[in-house]
Amino acid sequence: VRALGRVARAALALGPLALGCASEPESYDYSTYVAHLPRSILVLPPLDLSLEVEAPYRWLSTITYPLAERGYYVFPVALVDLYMKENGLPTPHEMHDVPLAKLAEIFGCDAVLYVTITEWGTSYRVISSDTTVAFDARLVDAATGLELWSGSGQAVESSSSGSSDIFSMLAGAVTQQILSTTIADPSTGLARQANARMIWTEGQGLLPGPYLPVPE
Amino acid sequence: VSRILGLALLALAASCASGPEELYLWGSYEECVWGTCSGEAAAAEEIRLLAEDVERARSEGQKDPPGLHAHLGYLYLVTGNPESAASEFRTEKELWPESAVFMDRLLEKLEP
Repeated sequence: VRALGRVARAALALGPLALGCASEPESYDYSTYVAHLPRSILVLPPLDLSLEVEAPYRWLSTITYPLAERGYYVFPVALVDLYMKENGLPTPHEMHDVPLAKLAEIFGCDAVLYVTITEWGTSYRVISSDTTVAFDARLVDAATGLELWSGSGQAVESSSSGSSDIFSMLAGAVTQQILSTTIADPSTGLARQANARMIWTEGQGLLPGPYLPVPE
Repeated sequence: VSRILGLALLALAASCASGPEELYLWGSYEECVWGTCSGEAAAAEEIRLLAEDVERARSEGQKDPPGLHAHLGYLYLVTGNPESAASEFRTEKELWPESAVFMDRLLEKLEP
């Protein structure tokens, strides 16, 4: 538990740097997005290039929170997946191939979020390990097929980050192992960080949706 | 821990952007999404968790997240309780008009 607390504190300390409140790169071109601002977002189970079997559904269980807190209606992700499977679409590949008009007809969604996971999981080295989660995302208008927004999310956690001497590096590797066995999957936490950064970063992320109160 | 990180990031994002509070009471919803997708959790247990969240949100004057009632409806369906399932699908639709097309589709199957 103490190790978990330490990790959480480290993340808190790094948070502002990662989010970059102060210095932002050039703002995204939101003109198409503004013209077709969706109320509801259908999230399809992601394609997975990482070949981690659990990755698509681990990720799917982290995406409702940041989208809904950004102000959008998010269709029930598990139910959407099961419904499509029951209707002859067994994998994300088939689901991604469904024409937009068909998705709009079945679900009544304004926009669809297509995601491809590119990296997911922990690579172990002699005395350290890196856990990486990375994905690309596209938000597409269901009525016109226009791409409203695209972005990517990434989060990395290194077991030996910030340590220079071999003993702390070893301690880091041990902590990482403990974490791996304590939490079901450390990548899920990273996916939440990557989602948050991708969706909430001002000037790069998603525009505020209709359920987000307008600030005074 | 992941939830703590999420909250921390949200708090930081909020400090840059707008409102400081979460819109919804999240409780166990996303854990149940994983449970359902992976087949790791029992539907009856997930029903108990989500019903608890709904009750807590009600007593604290908070809102249920989008999708929760639809998910709960599905869980009732697989545990052989179509009446409660239909009731949850209707609740989802009342709370979130955006879900009407999909919820009507599910209700059609239950109440032909």
